[in-house]
Amino acid sequence: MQRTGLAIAIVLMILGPWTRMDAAGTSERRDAQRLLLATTTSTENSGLLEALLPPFEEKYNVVVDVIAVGTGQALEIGRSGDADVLMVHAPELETEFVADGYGVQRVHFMYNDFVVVGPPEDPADVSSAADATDAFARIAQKEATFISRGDNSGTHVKELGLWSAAGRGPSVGREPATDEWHREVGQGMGAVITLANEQRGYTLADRGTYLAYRGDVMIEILYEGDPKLFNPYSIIVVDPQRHPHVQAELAHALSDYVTSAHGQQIIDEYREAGEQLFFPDAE
Amino acid sequence: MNREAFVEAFHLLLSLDRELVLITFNSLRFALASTVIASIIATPLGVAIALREFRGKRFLVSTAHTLMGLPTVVVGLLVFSLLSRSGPLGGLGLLFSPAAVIIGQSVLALPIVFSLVYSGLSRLDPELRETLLTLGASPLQRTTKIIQEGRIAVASAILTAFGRVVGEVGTAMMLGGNIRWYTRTITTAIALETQKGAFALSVALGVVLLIVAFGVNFGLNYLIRFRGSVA
Amino acid sequence: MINMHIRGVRFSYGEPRPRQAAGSAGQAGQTLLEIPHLAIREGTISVLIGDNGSGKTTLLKLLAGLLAPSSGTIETASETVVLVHQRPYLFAESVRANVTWPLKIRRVRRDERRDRVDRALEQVGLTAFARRWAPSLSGGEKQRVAIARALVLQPGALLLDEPTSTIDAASVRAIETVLRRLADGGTTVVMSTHNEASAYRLADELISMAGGRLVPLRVNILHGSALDHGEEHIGRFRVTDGKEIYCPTATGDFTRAVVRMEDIILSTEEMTGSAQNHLFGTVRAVAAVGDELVRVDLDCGFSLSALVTQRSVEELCIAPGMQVCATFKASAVCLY
Repeated sequence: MQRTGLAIAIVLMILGPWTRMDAAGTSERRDAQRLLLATTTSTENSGLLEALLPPFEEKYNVVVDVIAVGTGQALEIGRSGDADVLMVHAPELETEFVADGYGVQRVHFMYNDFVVVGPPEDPADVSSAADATDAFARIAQKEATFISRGDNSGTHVKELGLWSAAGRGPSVGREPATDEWHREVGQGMGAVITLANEQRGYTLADRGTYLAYRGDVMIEILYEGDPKLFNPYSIIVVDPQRHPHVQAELAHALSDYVTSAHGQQIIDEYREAGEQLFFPDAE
Repeated sequence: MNREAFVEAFHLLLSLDRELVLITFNSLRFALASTVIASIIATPLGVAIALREFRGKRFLVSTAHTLMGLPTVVVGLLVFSLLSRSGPLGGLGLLFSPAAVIIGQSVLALPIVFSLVYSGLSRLDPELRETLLTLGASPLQRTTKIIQEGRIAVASAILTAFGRVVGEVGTAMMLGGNIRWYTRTITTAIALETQKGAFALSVALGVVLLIVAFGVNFGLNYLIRFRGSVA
Repeated sequence: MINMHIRGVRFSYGEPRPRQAAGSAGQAGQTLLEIPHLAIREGTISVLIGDNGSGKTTLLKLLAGLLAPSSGTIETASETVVLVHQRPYLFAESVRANVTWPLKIRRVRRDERRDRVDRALEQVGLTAFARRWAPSLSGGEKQRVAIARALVLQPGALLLDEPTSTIDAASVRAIETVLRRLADGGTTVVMSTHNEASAYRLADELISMAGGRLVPLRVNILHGSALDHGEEHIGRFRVTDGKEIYCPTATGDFTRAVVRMEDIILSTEEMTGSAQNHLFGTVRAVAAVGDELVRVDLDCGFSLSALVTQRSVEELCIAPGMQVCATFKASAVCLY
């Protein structure tokens, strides 16, 4: 009898409703369409999407499934047609993506900013840097420990650009770094912040992720505010001509929504730990 | 990670937090479904091959044995490239869905179930086969009886596969995409929620995973120590 | 009536693979068994004796159809032939479930099943064990469960590989009784054994094997009964046909007298000496066994064979039809 009960429980568990659940644990909008959004970990982790997407989902009776990866991987997913729409932040790669004919309608809609974080004793004296390039130059000159994302994410691309501008960093956008002080770890932002904290090193972090970790780490924001550290986000609809299954209509609707007054207002009002992380800048 | 995270984690556990319960439920049902699928395919195969002698058998068995240690990300990559819109099965649109996770985890579980069923049944007394023959059992009756006699081995194989699948992160992450309320599992949540600084949920999920792992191991020990000795 | 008939059977492991060149077929495996002819009568007990590796188990498996002969034929009159292994495999379930299984797979009705299982368990003396977990039984108990599991099928032929090797003396007698009753009821029983006493007591036909071949017996087995009253350490055994021979005194229910063929001396006239048995008989056959020995078959009211040297045959000019005297000591007789 017990065995039969167990067998029935297993079968029910597997064959039970496969629809997605919402926070109340009830099946949600079974008839809803599904829009796949590939985005960067920084937007997803910040919690912005959970404020920004529900009004859209409601209005269009759609479920937006969010896949949070690095910008490079998000673009790759778009390239193979496995997502409908992308939210990314690496302008050079985005341009290339659109130019190669994988995406249509690339629109800027917000930016956040990067901060240079490091140990409070600040051995490279980054806090007195004139600008972001100078901050990186100081780290390179001192050969102070720097933890790099090394994962082709938007943050990584930004970091490489800054090394290149500083003119003396590792790799300068060519070969992978071999300098002992510059450590590419190939991990997400959170892991990189934790590593930088453990190794008393510097790193370039997006403000949102750093704020989430602030209470648990010693490293502090040592340089911020240079417009070069601004991090523009774009929304790109995957080209439906190349991938016919793409929900182009809904994807365009999402693009229109985040650039609309309503969407922009939500972005402007979103606060994490009392601080504004994202700034709307749709034209 | 601070102390509050642990306090909150236990609060989540004790209050049966909705998200926690759902993620756990997802993890268990993906693992169950893939273990059941793998078992349905691999158990009869393991039995059939354990009972037959043929050319290339040793090669097949050692290949399956090697595949038991298949890295999850390799399986993830393989299935990803199959299910991707640009892959051969792209038309099904299965990537980033529970089905994709279950396919990936079934691939992981297959060689485990097969190898363990095979080796368990080959260790059965060689006289069993002759006994069944001499008592006049048909091929089907023989196979059924052999599975019945090797039930401890079969159950251990399935339990082991479940244990591996429920704790893996590679395929669940690559194929499911860690989509909230949909394909997020205990392991993908722990891997990615930590990035958000959502330590409490990660700790709570870690505790759940440990409980599941302990449960599986206790089950295995029970089978081997208390039922295996008399089999 | 013949129940099992072996003709020109040869068995070797490692059959030549079809893909191999025909020329290499001769290398495939050494011959394990070679029996030109053997007939087993229905309703008798045939006992295979021989050392380990003499081919007893192989012969039983061939008879059971578990092995196929590499060449030759084995004909079996019975539909159901069951082999009980030396160390039987019992299913991981109760004794009753074990014994029921062969009937279950034959879809025998539930009430008939119960009756037949009860009877089989009773036959092997395991009625009280029905609910026990089979794998936890002792070797002897397992052996008896396996026999019951075979008996429940009411087989035409029952084959047993060393059925008494792991059993205590009391159970050996019980199983012998069961086998005897089966054979009397028409079942053909073939068993192998190391237990000489068991072999002599039970065998209607004793089959001696060595190196995968049948070898002639070197003993005379006389059926009959021991007489109760003997005189001064000398007992008497009455052979079935009425003749009596002297043997060591023994009390008990003995039905077999065994005399080794080497222990019998042949002469043309009655010999004087300490030996008590002097039997006159007619030579029926003379056959060489190996290089030096000759087997002489006599009819002295019952069949008796002696193994003597080639030289003594020549000296005595023994030939079929001749009258000779067979002499052997009472102490050369063993009762079983």
